[in-house]
Amino acid sequence: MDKKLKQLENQSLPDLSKMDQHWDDLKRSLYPEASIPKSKANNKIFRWIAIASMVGIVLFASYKFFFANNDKFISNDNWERKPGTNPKTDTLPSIKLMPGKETSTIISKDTIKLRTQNEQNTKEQFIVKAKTTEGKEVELKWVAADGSSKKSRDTLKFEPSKEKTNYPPVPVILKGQTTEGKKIEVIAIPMNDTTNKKQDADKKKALQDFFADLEKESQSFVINNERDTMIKGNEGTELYINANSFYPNKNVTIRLQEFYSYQDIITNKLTTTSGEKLLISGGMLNIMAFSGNKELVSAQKEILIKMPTDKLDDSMQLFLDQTNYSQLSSSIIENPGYDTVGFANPINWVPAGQSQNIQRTLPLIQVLNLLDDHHSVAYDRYTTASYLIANNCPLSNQQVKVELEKRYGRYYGRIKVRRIWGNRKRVFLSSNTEWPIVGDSLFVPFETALKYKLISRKDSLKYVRDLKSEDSLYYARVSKMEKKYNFRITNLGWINCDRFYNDYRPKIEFIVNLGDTASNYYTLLVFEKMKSLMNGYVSGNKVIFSNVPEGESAKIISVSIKDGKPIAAMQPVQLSRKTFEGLKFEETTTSEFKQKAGEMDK
Amino acid sequence: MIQVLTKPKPLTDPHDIIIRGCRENDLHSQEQLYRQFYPEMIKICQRYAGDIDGAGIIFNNAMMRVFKSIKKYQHDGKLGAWIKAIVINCALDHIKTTGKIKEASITIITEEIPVDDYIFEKISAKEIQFAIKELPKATATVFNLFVYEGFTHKQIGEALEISEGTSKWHVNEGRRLLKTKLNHFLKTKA
Repeated sequence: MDKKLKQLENQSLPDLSKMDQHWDDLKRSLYPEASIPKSKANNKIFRWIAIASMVGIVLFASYKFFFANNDKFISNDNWERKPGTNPKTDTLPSIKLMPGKETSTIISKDTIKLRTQNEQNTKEQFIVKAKTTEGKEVELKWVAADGSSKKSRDTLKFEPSKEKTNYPPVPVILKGQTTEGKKIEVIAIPMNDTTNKKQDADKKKALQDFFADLEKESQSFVINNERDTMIKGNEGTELYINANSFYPNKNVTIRLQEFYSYQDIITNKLTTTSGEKLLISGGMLNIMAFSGNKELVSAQKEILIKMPTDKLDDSMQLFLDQTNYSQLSSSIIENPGYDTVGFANPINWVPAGQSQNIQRTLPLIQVLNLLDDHHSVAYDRYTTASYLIANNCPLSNQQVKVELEKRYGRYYGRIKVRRIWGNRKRVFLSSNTEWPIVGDSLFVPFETALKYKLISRKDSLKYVRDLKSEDSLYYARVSKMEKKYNFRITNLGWINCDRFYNDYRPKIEFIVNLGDTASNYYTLLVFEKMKSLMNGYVSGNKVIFSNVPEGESAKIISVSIKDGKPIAAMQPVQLSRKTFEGLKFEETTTSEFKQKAGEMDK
Repeated sequence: MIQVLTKPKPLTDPHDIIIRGCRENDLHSQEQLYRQFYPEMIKICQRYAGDIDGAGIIFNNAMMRVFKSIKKYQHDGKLGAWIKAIVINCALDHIKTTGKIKEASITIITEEIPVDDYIFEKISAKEIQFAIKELPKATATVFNLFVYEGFTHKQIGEALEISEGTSKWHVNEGRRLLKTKLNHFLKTKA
């Protein structure tokens, strides 16, 4: 019992709602407001900032004083001068191009000089536009140092100077075609800034459209609120709605979306995580109710939901969407890793404290205890799990070891066993702690025995035969009932039937390097052995999946847009600490992607 | 004793940086330490306080002690365990301020009361916490210390100034009452 209580306690989430308030209280106690100590580190930083500012001011002042005359700056004997241009008497207006900044100036002459500030800025590219003060765009021509000419709106690229004596770089002269004397505004726009941003925005829009085409259609049911109603979805979900659950509305439209398969979950950008913990999904639903155009967010009475399953799992429970949308929007603004297009549906699943409610009618049977009740796990080179065997276990140590390796060998590299002395079940060390043992006998429900392979095939057939002596119709009904998860809800929206994924292996960060801006991709990690999917955190070109079990096999799925066409990659991978590179992308369509995602359901 | 091989420690343990900052009374480091251990420790404090505010007071008292005695901490990689020990001590002090636990006058029962594991598959941790809170205060305290904090009866006896037998009695009584409450809870839920 104690172990079960501890297990449940470990799975529960702490209440963090008052953390900030408690910290403020402690801060006030530690440092009364008048004397909050300034951090020494902050003092140092401020000191350096002050020194740097003073140095900067002095340098700026000296630059202005010594280099105020542009002609002096220009007069460099190593420059190749165009005939007719004398830098000393050159009175052409000029515009300094600043990297990452849009700059402009108004000129009355039809010729303007563009130059960069210093040698380091020579790699920047710009687009230059010109327009009259009335806003009408006019064309200008380049006259570069080599005499070549281009038009405005062409990309202006400053090449890095090869000879160090050729500093500063030769400025470009723009000659206008406007009537002399009319004022024009010349605007220089850094190309990396707007062009790349625009390209990224287009990619994200196209990716959004790609997934919008894949969105699962919802099923609509119009019910009479004055009557009890049972709704059955296409994939077997049943909703039992009591009369007057949506009082005072008469006709209510229920919209249901069912997500049971990998295909549906992947194509609708859903994941199965609760905070940083992985969940194994038994299916997801999105239930909405409308009265006319008005959305009803909750029901006055509980709605019973039955979700179908092929194989019942006792540890499944109800999870609800607890995403804090106001917090999420600020995260999107402040954190470049959050991207509403490339990122999944921002659902955070939180346990609702409701395990599924199934009537258990099958009797208990006595079996040999070969559950994974190790008393310690050492994370050494092999990951060694140690078990204590009950003294009265009928199997030898070696036989027990073989049985345990069959069941849990894929989790642990090595299994050690030791038989305890005497008939006592408790093992006392320095404390009165009861340690778990294996090899004794247990009374468990028949299905649990099957699930943990505690009975042989021959035995299971014998039990099925014996249990079938019950009324067959009753048994059939019970079996049918056992293949559904039951939950009761009042709040509508996203609903998930999940359980926490408990794995004893060490948890690592698995990094995927996409070789391109990762925020333009939708990347997902899908676990094949259990229905579990997770998103990663985006950083530069990498996507980082945190808290994943080392050695587990999974599939990386990534989608993006290239040259206006969707591309996708689906590659199996073994999770390790090594960064994964070389994801192969191929052109795809919505139907192809959907079909490939559906292959995981087979 | 079981010998567990630990993984090689990184050269710079992130906790070392925070601890250094706390020793210099750096507010930012103190806040980091506070927030890092809050989720784990607030669960412990909530068991012994009536509500989240009381739990916050216990945790704040514990962190005050941590910041004051951070210089005594020996860098052996067990910062969490050290802080947990302080938190539990503060929780015990809080319990003592609310009144001394009386010795049980009933005969000591040494046999364990069996509980059907099946019940725990139907109930959540929150519901169990509510049920434990409804137990008599002394029984709930001893039960929490024994089951969740892993105290021995001897340690509980020394901390709460009661005998080992009384401690054992409270643990068994807690199990018996909890089982009754959980069964009743399940019936009303069904």
